[in-house]
Amino acid sequence: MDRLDRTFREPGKKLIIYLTAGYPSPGADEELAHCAIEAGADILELGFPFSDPVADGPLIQEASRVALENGMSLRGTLALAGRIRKRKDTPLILMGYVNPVYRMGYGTFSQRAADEGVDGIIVPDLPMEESGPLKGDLHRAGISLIPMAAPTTPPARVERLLSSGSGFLYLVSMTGLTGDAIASSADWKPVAASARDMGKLPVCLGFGIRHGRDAAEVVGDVNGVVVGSAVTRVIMEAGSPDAALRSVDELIRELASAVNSG
Amino acid sequence: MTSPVREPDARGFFGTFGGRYMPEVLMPALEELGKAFEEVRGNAAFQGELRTVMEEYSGRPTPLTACRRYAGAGEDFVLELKREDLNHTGAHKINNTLGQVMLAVRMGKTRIIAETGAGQHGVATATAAALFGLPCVVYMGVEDIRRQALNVERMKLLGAEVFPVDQGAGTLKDAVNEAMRDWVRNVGGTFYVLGSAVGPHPYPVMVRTFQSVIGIEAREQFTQRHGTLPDLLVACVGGGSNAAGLFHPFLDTSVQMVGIEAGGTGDDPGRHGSSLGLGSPGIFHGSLSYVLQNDDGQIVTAHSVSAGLDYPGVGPEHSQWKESGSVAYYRVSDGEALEATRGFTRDEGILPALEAAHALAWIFREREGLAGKKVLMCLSGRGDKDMETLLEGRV
Repeated sequence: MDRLDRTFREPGKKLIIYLTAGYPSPGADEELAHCAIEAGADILELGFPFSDPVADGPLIQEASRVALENGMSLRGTLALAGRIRKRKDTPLILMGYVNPVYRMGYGTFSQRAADEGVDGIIVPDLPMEESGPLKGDLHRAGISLIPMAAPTTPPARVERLLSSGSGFLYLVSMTGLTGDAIASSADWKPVAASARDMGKLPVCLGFGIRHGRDAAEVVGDVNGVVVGSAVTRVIMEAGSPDAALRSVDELIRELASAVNSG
Repeated sequence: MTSPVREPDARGFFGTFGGRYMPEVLMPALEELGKAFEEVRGNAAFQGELRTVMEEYSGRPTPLTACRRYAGAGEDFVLELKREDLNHTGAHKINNTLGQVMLAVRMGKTRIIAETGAGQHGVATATAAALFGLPCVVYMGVEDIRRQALNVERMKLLGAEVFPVDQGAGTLKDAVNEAMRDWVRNVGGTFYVLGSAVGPHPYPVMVRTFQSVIGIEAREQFTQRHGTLPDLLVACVGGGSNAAGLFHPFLDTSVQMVGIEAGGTGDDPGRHGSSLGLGSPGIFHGSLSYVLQNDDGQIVTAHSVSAGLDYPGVGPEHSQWKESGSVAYYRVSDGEALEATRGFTRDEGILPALEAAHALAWIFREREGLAGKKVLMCLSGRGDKDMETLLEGRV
C-alpha cells in the first residue's frame, strides 16, 4: 500500500504493465516481469488465471488457458510475486477473478499476499456492493483493493467507489473487454474528469491501449495507463523466449517514453 | 431444518447465497433490470398480458397427467406429472423467455441475446424474440452445436443468429461466458435473456418468478383432483429453474421436496453435474452458490448425458434450500436416466426429455418407499431433441 502511495506521490505519469502469471511458461513469466520493470513499468500487475474470465477478450483468455495448463494457480502467483519482490521494490498488484480468492479464504489470501510483498489487488467481478468482507481482510494486511469504474458508472457511484477503495481508480476506457479497441474518448473522459475533480485517488486508464501513440493520446487526462493485452500479444507472437523478452522490452520502452512525455 | 428465506434481500442474497458478482460495466444495467422486474411483478397490466400470451400462444395451463404403469404408479402410489413438455417449443423454458422478452420490450431494449446448451433455451428465446419482432443472437458451444444440429437449424429458421463458442469445452458454461461478454460490449440496448435461475441478481429471482407458474398451476390442479396436497414433489436440477418454479409455491406447506442432479458416469471431477451433491460454495457466473471447482477455485467441467444438466453451477436459491434442509437433493446416473427414458416411454406413451428422465429414474429407484404416497413431478420437457443420444446409447 505504501509503495503504491509513494509511487503516485512521485511526479510524472505512471505506466502499469499487466502480465499473466504462468504465461507463456513458469520461469519465463518471472523473466518477463523483471524485463518489464527494467524497461520502464512503474507498477507491475500480475494476473492469476481463472477458468472463466468473462471480462477478458481473446488474448488474455488464451494466456489464462495456457497458464492453467502450465499448472499456474493463485498460490503459484503469490509465490511468483514473492520472488519478484525479493529483487525489486516496484509496486506489485494482483489481478484476477474472485473465486480463487474466495476459495483460498479472504483472510488467508490477504495474509499471504502481505507476506509476499503484494501491494494491491484488482478483482473485476467483485463490485463495491460485494467487496466488504475481502476489503476488511485486505485492509488489516495493509493491501489496497483497487476499485474499477467504467463509462457506464454514474458520477454518484464514482464518488462511492473513490471513497470505498484505495491505491488508485482503475478506469475502464469502454464498455468492452480487455484487448478491444477504444472507440471514443467521449466514453471515458467525463468519468475521468469527475473522478479527478473529486480528487480522492489517482486515476489510471486501462483497456484498449496498444501503442505509445494510444498512451500519448490519453495520458494527459489521467495519472497513468494500464497495458495488458498488447503485451500479451507480443509475447504470443514471439517465436522464442528471447524474442518475447526483446519485444516486451521494446513495447514497454515505447509506452514508457509516451507516458513520461505526457 | 430451518425455514427458508422466501425472497432475496435487496442485494440479491437468499441467506448467504446469491449476490451480484459482475464487472462494473454491467452494474448499472443490473440495477436497471432489477428495478424494471420489481415494477412488473406487481403490475396487473403486465401480468395480464403475460397470462394471455401464455394461454393463447404457449398453451397454458399445461395439464396434470396421472401415470398408470411406470414404476408401479397408479397402483402402489400416485404419480402426477406436470406436463411442461406440452408447452409451445416443448419445455418449460418458454415460461421464462416470454416473460423476459416482454420485459425487454417494456424497457425499450432493441436486441436480445441468450446462451444455450441443448438448444432448448435458445429455441425458446428465438421464439419469443420472433413473436415480439426483436433481433436475437444465441451463443452456443461448438460441441453442443455438433450434438444438437436440429435445434441450431430451428433457431436459424426463427430468425436468430447462432454464434459458435469454441472456448473451453465448447459447452453451456462457455456459451454463458460469451453471452456475458456480448452484454459487456453492448450493454446499452441489449437484453440478456438468461435461461436458468442462476447468474447475478435479479436473474435467479426473476427466472424463478416466471417459472413459478408451474407450481402455482400444479398446486391448484393437484388439490382439485385429489382434495389434498401431494406428499412429495420431484424435479430435475441443472441450473434449477423448473425445480424452483415447482417448489417455490409450496414453500408454505409441509410437502417434501426432492431435486435430482446429474450423476453422470461417476463421482470423480468431470464425470457429473452434481453441484449441490458434490460441489462446494463458490462464486461463478455472477452469484455465490454451490459450484464444481478444484482446490484453486477453478471451475471444473461438468458432464451429463443430458445437455440441460451439463452445467457446473446451480441457482443460489437451491443452495439455500439445501442448507436450510427445505429440499433434499440426490443424483441419478446417465445410465439410470437412459433406462428410465425407455421404460417410461413404453409404459406411459410419453417420450420425456433426458433432463426430466433423471427425476423419473429417481422415482423408479425409490418406488418401494413411495408406496401409498402421492407424488407430483415436473415433466420439464419432451424428448424428441434427445433421439440421437438415445440411438447412440442403444448399442
